[in-house]
Amino acid sequence: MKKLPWIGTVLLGALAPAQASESLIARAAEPDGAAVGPRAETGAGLPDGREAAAASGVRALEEAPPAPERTPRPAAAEWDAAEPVRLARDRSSAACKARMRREWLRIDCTAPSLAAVRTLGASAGEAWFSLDQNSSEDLATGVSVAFPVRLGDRRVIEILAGTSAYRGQIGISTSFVISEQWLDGDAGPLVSVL
Amino acid sequence: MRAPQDDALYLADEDHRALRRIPLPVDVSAPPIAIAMPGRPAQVLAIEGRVLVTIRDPGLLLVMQPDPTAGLVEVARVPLPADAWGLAITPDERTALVTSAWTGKVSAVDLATATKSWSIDVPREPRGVVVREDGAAAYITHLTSAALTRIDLRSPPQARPIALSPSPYRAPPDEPRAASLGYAAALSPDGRRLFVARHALGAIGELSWFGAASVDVLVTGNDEPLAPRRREAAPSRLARDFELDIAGDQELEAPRSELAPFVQPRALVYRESTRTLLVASEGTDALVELDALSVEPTLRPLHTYPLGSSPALAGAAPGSLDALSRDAGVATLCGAPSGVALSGDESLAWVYCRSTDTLALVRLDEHKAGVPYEPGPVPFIRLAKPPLPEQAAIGRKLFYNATDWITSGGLGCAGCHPDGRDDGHVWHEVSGGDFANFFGSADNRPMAGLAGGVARQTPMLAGRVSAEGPYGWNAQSELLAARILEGFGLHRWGMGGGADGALSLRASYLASFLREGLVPPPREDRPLTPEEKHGFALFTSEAAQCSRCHVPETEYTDRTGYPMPGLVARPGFYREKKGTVYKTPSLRFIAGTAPYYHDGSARTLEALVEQNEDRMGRTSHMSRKDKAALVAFLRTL
Repeated sequence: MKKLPWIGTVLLGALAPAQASESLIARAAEPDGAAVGPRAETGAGLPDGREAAAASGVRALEEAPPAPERTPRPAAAEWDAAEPVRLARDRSSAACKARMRREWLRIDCTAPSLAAVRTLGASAGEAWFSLDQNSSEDLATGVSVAFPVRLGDRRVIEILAGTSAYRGQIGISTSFVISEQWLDGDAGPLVSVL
Repeated sequence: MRAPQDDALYLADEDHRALRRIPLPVDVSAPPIAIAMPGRPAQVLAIEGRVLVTIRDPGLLLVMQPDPTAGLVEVARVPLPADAWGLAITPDERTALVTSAWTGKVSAVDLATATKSWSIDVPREPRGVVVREDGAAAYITHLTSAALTRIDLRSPPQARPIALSPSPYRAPPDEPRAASLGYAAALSPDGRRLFVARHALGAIGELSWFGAASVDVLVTGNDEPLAPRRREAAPSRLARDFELDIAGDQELEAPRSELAPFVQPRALVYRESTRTLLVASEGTDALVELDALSVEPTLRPLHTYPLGSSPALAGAAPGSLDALSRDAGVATLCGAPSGVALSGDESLAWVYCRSTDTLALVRLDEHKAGVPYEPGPVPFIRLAKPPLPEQAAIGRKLFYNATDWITSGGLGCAGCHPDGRDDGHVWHEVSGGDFANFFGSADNRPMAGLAGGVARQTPMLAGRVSAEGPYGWNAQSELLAARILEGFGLHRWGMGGGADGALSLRASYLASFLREGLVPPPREDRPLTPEEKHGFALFTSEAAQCSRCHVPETEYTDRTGYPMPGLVARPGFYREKKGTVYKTPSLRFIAGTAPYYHDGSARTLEALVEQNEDRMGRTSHMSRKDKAALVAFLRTL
């Protein structure tokens, strides 16, 4: 007796094929229709954003935290000038890139067959999600997440992919988990993408 | 435990009643030094010039000193409440704190005078203990509850519970899960985060009859969980045209990552250089590395180091322990990892593998770009021969093992019966035409339309399985091996398969271990107090009739099934089938096995006697003093 996972209506053949990240970036629908700006890798495979930052010259978010402010989410065009940052840990194999504008952090990830993004838990409610999806495809090949990084924050976000299952049914599985925490006494925010 | 001078590794080998000293660097060809202990050692801690060891029975803290000839010599012996287990010292190294598991105590020992300063009561099965950086308080983990205990280390010491829900995103909002197997905790180097490894009972997920593995984080600044609460209607975005109806489907609302990257967490250490955690996964014979920077470290493990078995040797003799282990699907190299220590540079982990009596030397991933981790053979030291005859020795491996699908269904016997005791949990059992399954919470439904299930509390095994039979809450299994066979089907979703011969062989191995290998909890050898004597007189009286069924000569049970009229189904559980009978449970060690009844409806012995309503024997005629005396006697069993 085995319990079947969720049974959906999307057929196996409709799952999007893997996309090259370059082509995805070229056509990715940006927040509010903006073009994609320069992005930095978030330090894939490195144990510690601080060490990686020293090697690359890219600012480690943990070592240079944003000012304590409360500003609105950047408009689409503002992200073009956003500064690439390194996260405390990134195990996305270069599939995710992070940048910072004021106290807002944006993480863009590319992966095949992305189905959903959601907050599992957050100490503050603000978070903005977008899926990059061609009109001909049932699933997305990119996802963008933006949220403010403020002292006291704790947040867990899950990015999900559609997976094939029994007889054309599909399920969902975790592609990435984004974790943010910045406790009083920390040098800076600890953000990881796993 | 590595010595501060980096010259030796110390290992508490409970099953051989020995402390082992392994000179560093480890020479795999040289046997370690074994130092006999006055009882079973549980944990060891090496500090400057001294080695501290907890002894379970009799309860002791041994203070030892390195010695060039003997390895270690005893310099002091501090009597403590029985089943001394967990061990930590205050930052000034003046005080040792010791948990006593079975007796539910935490004690402080003044190391300068080698005397006990105090002992206080805490909830059931205290195990792990860590002391805050400021020395102001200690945190205690428990095998049978989710809440931690915080002890403020002032005079007098004060204990209070600290809520820490296990695996919070695998539970509905405002319905925290229960937890078990809280053996271990570790502080971050700055002391501001406390990591606790355990098992989330009834956690929601696909095929999660047993729950989920969890490392939960407490912020020590305010004693609040690090993970923010799961909230209804949290932000989400779905792919266009993806008709996914997540809302209201608890399985889909739970994280879709692996439920059990580790099984039966037995030890936990913080690896400072990589800001990661290493968990000894008893059930899967692995060391698992997690991100200590994550709010929920268990959701995405960084690395799994499989340790269980080396490639099969062509020359393994038929009938040898190695060959029999392979046939039974259990570890040959490192089974039931239960202790971890790091080398000074943290490039290496030494892992004590209890069920194979080995020490594995695990080279760790550096987690650096451009430095790929190349897995290779794991060197190991054979510490000792198995402490049991061959059948029981393989049963010992099976008892801890969660990878042999025929036997375990994803959780080993030790997952619900830690130390052969119980997890304090009331499970849900559902049955249909040709199946029966256990699951941890009413939310975990093995199939549509099934929910609730009847209530079945985990029974303790140690010291209660010497009789031929019958076994099971309903006395349904004639023999112990038959009950174990039934368990192979119950404790899972779906049968694990396996030919009758393979199943029977495993059941017989396990039965041998349960009888020969499990160690009963300690009992005080002392005369009864006047109150207890009065309780004994009541227990054996014709008026009360307790001893008619709870026969003293046969572990306080007649092993016969009786109906239990008037017990109503607890919320969340099914009503029992008409005519169900319940085997008289053994009362041996009953003081330490709350809650009571098959459905766990009595939280204490006092409540059980008070609410008996002459259902079992007769107690309604007793005065309050009599009932207290009866409970006092029951606690001595």
